[in-house]
Amino acid sequence: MTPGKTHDTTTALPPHRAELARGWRAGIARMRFPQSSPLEAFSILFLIGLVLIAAFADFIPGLVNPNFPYGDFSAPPNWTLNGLFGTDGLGRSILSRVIYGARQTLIIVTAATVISMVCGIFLGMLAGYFRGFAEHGVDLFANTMSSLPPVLIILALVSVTGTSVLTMTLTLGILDIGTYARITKGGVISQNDRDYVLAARALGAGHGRVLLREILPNLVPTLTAVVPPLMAGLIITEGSLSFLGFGIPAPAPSWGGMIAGSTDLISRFPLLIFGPILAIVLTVYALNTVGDFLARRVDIRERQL
Amino acid sequence: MAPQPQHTLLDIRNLHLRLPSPKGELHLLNDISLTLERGRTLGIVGESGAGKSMLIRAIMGLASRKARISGEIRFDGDTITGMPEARRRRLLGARVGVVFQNPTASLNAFERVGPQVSEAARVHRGISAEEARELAISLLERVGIPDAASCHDRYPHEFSGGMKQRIMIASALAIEPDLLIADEATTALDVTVQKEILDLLQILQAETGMGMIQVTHNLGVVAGRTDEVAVMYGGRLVETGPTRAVFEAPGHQYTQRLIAAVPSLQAPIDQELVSIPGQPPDRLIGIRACPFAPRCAAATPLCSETMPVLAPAGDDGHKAACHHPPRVPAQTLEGAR
Amino acid sequence: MTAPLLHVRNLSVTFPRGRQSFKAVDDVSIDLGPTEALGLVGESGSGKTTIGRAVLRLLPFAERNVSGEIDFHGRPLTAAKAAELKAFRAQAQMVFQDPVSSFNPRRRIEEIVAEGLRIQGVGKTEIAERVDTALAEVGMSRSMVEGRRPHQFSGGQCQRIAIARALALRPEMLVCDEPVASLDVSVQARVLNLLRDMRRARSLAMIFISHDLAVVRSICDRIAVLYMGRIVEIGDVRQIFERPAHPYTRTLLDAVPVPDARAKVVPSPERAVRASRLEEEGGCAFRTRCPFAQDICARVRPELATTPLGQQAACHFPLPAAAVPA
Repeated sequence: MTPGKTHDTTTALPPHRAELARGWRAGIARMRFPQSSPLEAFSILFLIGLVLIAAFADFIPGLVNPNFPYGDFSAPPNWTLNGLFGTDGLGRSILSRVIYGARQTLIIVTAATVISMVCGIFLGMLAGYFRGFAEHGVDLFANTMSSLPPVLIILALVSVTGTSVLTMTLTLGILDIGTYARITKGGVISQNDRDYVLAARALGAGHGRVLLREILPNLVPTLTAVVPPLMAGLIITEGSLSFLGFGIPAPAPSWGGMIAGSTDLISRFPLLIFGPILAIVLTVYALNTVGDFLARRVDIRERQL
Repeated sequence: MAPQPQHTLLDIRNLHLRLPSPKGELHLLNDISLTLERGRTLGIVGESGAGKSMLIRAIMGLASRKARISGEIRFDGDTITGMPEARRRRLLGARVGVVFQNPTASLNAFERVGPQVSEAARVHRGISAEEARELAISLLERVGIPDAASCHDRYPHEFSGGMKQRIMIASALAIEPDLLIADEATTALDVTVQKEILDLLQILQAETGMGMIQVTHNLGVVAGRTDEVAVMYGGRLVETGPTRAVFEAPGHQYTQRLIAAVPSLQAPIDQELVSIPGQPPDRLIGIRACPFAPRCAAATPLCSETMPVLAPAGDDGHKAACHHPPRVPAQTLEGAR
Repeated sequence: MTAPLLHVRNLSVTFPRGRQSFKAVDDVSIDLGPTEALGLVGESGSGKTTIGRAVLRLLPFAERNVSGEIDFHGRPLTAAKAAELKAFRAQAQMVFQDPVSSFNPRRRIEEIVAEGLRIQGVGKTEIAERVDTALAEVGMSRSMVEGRRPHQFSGGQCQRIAIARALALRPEMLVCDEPVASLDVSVQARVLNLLRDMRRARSLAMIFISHDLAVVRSICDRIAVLYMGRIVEIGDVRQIFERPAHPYTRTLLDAVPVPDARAKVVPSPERAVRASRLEEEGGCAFRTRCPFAQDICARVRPELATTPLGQQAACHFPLPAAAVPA
């Protein structure tokens, strides 16, 4: 707020009120980004770092190609860059494979999230706004989706297209459509009860405008808060699907695939799976923590508005 | 009004409540002194933000922990300000019933109404399940809920707003309170239902002899239904006295405007309605002038220089804090029913 | 009488309630003149809000079951296409009970007031002009509201902003649904006076919905009293207030809180028995609360008929003028 405007606002309200309003605004600004706990701050920094490292892996000086042997087979970790997590059964640097695997995993999970959000929000808005048959149809779809084991979906897709990055992305993308649809539907129904939706219609807004310009912006915080934990779920599912052999074809690195590839050596070289497991655990944990942080922020904001 | 201590149910002396905020200390209650005799009804009237609800919270010990409270509140002879919280809760919980504005928010949607009605009695009296059921049914009957026995096992959403408010009253009565506080209890209801609920409260009070506090923004609600009335403005008591005297000869400009603002059935139909312009003050800082002065038609420089103090404005303890008390009675009283 | 602006014939609205359905509005006919203000008064559940939304075509579509005719400017509204409906939105506006909830919490005040104009495709400079005018008319100014959000204003101020939003479209008809019910008594009068002035200055037609007869008194020319979805009495404001013919109107008048402390209110122990809405019953719906009910009231449903007092009432035993205390 500029000093020029402060003067004007005092005509609207007595001076203390304007003071109070300004205090409030400062308060709200603070509340929108509530104090994060050390764990939350660590999680946010970890995720940012992970994205940066995955994106710029090619430029990390000294990092070897993840698909070519680099040293001894199944070497234990040592204090060099490429040997930090040791080498795998083919002598490839596990650290390098974890980093390139992060890139693969993040791309797949993000693309899958975009697919499920777009489809889920679209369906959820139809169901919540028009109710009736649209709602029954979407409910049926969402419930069917959540009762199907992911393996079944990927089996169906793999039988058509074979294992590939695209198959994995589509499978994961389909998985969460129902969840996003359900959350969106609930949000639309609760927003639809508020008079501002009716007021927008009374002003002449069509259904599209009401949904996209009035209701959707009010759902964004809620939806944002569920994205990280759902992404965490996808990472785990990706891991287990890869483990079962439906993952992205070798030699491309992926976290799940690395664990799967190490199982026969695990009794002799337990440190082999340390790298990918650490990556999965930390990432999933960080995503869930960020989800909690965002949910708390939504809660505070909703109480403010 | 110098009552015998043993007859005084609630005695508030020089109560102040300050709440720290990022922009300084909020003076939410300033020098409030009030008494309520057993068996009598007190109306607390004012606009939103006048401090009515804060006063109720201060009495009930529900004010924010950060609040700084000074002054004394005595309930039936016991000083409750400064009392350890657990003891205060036990004392007031067992003897004071409160009915709030929004019964839907006050009732638990997932619990049958019967147990909610008897809850306070179960907590404070430790009665058996069988006794609790009997008590709940008799209370529901008493507040005029038809077929109370079958209503005992129904859920709140099956009742209308007026019915839910009756259920709230029943649950407040479960402890046979010495004091019943109705905090805007009828504000959200239709006028017809409001009348029924006000009538019910009046009848229950006559039967039980409990003291009652009616908190409202509408002076029409307390007229003819309370013994004393206290008008609050900007966290201060601006007028207090016997209801009849306050209505017949208000001692404060604000009170007069509030009376006149109640839509009348008698005034000429095309007459402009009386409104109070401006906004109530925010109590961010202590003020030394009359808080109503910026909105008052009769204000003079004196009003924005010195704070008027509560001074006698009539008989029987009628007091008002106004430099220019209105001379004519509120015009709406002319020819009113 | 000139051709009515709004012509409602035999309007019925049914809402499903589980397996049953209930008639929120039952066979209501109303005409509203081009500059007339009509009060719709009744308790919650009387159908007043449903009528207000039906004439604006704002009922939720999934559970809509509307029959009857609604004509605006002589053209049937029920058959209006999207473009026609949008044009109608500019001509008929609404003010809600809770102003804060009628604002999108994510918008600034100036966006809220301009929203209707933007939707209607008004040009940028004209929007700015009309927003300024509308704000000025409700006693505010752009500099007071600029950059601020609804929660920074009091309830009364928000309701004035809501009125500005409606007026910015220059409507011919305004439906006000309990516009002062959520406000303190001290600020109600300001909003009521404002609506009355606007009505005169702009020759607005108005439908004013309230549960409190005292509130509609200063604004309306005519008043329709509703009970359980049906009009039980309709007449000029003076007829309704000075010599009500229907016992229910009398009940509503008696319930108005009066700021007179000269006499103690004598509480009545009676609790009104409201009939169930789900079963269709014959007879007069008010008979369970009516002090004058006779056998016939349970058998025959009274139809609206002109009473000796001049207004129309649906009652077998309309009150004579003498029964009303002065």
